[in-house]
Amino acid sequence: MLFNTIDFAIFLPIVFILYWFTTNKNLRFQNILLLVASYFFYACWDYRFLFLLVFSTFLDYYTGLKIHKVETKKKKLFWLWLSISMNLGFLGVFKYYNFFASSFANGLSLIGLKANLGTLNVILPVGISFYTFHGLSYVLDIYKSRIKPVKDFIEYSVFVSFFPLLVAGPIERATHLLPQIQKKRSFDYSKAVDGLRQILWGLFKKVVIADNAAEYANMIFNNSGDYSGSTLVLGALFFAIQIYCDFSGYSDIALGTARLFGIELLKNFAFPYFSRDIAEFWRRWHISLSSWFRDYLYIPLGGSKGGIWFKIRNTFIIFLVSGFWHGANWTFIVWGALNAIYFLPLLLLKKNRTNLETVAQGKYLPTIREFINMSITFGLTVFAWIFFRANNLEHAISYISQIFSSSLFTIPTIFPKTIILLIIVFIIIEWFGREQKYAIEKIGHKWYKPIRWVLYYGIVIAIFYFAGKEQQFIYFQF
Amino acid sequence: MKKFIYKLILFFSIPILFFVFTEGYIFSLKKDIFSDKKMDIIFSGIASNYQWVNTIEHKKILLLGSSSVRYGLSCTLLNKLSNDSLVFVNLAMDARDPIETYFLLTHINLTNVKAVYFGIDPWIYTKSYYKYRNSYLYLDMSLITSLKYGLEHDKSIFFKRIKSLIRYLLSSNKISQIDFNKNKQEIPADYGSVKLEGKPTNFNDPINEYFQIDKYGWSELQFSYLAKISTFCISKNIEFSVFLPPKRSDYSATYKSKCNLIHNEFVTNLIKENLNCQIFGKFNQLDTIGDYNLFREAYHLNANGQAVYSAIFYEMMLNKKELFSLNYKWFN
Repeated sequence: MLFNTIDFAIFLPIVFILYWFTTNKNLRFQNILLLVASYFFYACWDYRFLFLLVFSTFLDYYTGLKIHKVETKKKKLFWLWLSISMNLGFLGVFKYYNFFASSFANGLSLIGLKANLGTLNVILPVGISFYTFHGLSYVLDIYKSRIKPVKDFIEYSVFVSFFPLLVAGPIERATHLLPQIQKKRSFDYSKAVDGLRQILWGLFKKVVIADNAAEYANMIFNNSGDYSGSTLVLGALFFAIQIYCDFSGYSDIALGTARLFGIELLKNFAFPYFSRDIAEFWRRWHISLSSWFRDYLYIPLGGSKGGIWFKIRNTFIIFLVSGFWHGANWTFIVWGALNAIYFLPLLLLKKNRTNLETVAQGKYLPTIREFINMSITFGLTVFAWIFFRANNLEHAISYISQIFSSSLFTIPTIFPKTIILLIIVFIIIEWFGREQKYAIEKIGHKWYKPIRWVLYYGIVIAIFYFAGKEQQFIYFQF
Repeated sequence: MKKFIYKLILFFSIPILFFVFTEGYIFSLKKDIFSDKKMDIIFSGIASNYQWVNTIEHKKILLLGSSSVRYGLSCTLLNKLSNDSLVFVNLAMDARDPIETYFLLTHINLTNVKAVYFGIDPWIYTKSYYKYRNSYLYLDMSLITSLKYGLEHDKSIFFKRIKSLIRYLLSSNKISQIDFNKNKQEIPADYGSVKLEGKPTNFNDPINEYFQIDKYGWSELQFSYLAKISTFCISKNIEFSVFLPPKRSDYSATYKSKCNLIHNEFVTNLIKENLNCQIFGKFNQLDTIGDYNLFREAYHLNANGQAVYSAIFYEMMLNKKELFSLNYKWFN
């Protein structure tokens, strides 16, 4: 079930009404309802993988209890590694087996040997990368004694499977979400209204901006050999806009939906394209994943302590793993490596934490220097996105070499004025809302209510009127 | 909680009430919306682009219809075939329907017009074709049909219906406005005919799915306006005939085998409207001469096909007309 479908528009109010009107007096009933709704939500996509989700949930629940219960470090380590290996094992089989098998065979063929490991004809269970990381963070936190294990299986299952975050995040932490699930939730009018507003903005980003930009990005990337360098640049820009609006739009809908149920999820995006350097970009893009890697991989590896080579190694590990998390393709690995290369100079010069505040805070416009820095960062990001979007490395390289040809200085053959105008309006709204949780959070707060409602009606009309051809959420495939 | 539900209901009830009121209003006004007077105001503006026709003082033959006529016949060739005793004028346009054609015809000077030939393509008489037409025609759909159509073809259908309703309301005290002095119009090179260079892109669906009669039905308006064109020409003592622009053999074969029910309904609807005219031509007119070199795609002739078909058309126009009836054979 997708967020931008009629099915979800029917599903959400039903769960909402049952949640607040029939189960509101009993926390356990509320959690059971959320779990049933979440499993139903997941089963609508493919019920066959529901067992995998339940098994993965049970595995982490049980190993969590065991890690806490056993006393020796050796035994704790045993249960921890059992959980890690099982979780990563599932991920490896479903997501990475074919990649490793074909890469291994290709590698051997380079030295004249033949290997036929065979490939698996399996589809990737939706959300597996996300719920696996939920579970891993839980057992790792127990192992590190940051939290105590949950005794109630229902509560733990809701933490893993809560439907707004189940298939594409944000990747939650037990320390943040579990206490909210264990505590009685009461209805908060202003939070619910805020949730609806964030859902509306998320739908606008996804349906109007991302889906329209996707049509042109797909057209240009799928026929890149036919277009001029300038058109290919436009294609890369369209993809940069598409992936941001698609994923942050999804996150907005997820956060807004959770808020309707009295639950606050982790913020996932903070206007990343207004970043002044790559370090800032990574503090603002897919925040829940970046912080997960920071806490459970980068810091345990030693972080930015130690010598230069140590720092370089850790930086590359975290970005390569992050790239690999997105998919079993060399394009994602190169995308990760590129970002590591962008990031390293800042780390080595100790300038990776210079831009911690929002750009041009309290001002209408950035300074020229800030503008130039934002443009450079955006340009580097767009360049890396070419690898992310390309079908394979050859495609990415030919795409880039075609950009840097004489046709770069011609007028693009594709120039959809309406969608470009919509994107410009969208960027302006995002700019003026960049100090909020989401762009329209505070817009119109002090306006006369009917005028504010006109703004919301305008967004609803735009969603229907300018809706692009429906596209799958990009992050569902990860 | 109550406040939230109340506000939510209020928020959604305003557009829903507006929507219900608008749709009810459209339903109650439907007869007047499609009255000749209103339709004239909405559709006649196009006539100002054709004032060049009035400057031709020779005996004229008008060719009407949609793209298959526009690209299918060359007026210059037809004029030559008549030894320049006649001037053929092509008033067909991409996706042009009988409604627009009628209001075009009633606003040009028909003195010296000897005959009018109208090319008929069945799919133009369907409601599913409305997406290519003036959005005012969306008011001809019921609420349920509009909902289905909106989901499948045009998400903005309800906004277009409201916009059309506003056009209707604003037109209440107007009369049709045609700028007869609009620039000084040159007579086009081939009297309105055009050689098709590019490939039209809106003909990709399988033929039998193209009509979507089960979902959206036929457009009664289109049938009635074709009959009106016929009546109007007769009242002006102008010969009126319909003809069948040729289709590529694979298309006509599929149409014949898969769309016979649709075809029968189409002809029956024309009969119901008492269409009183002559008819000539066949759907598979060019089959026997290896038609694949003559078409751009299944529906439209290329320059070569235009020349070949113009000669055949001229011959048929002189010799092969029959009275329109249920028994007319559409295929060779």
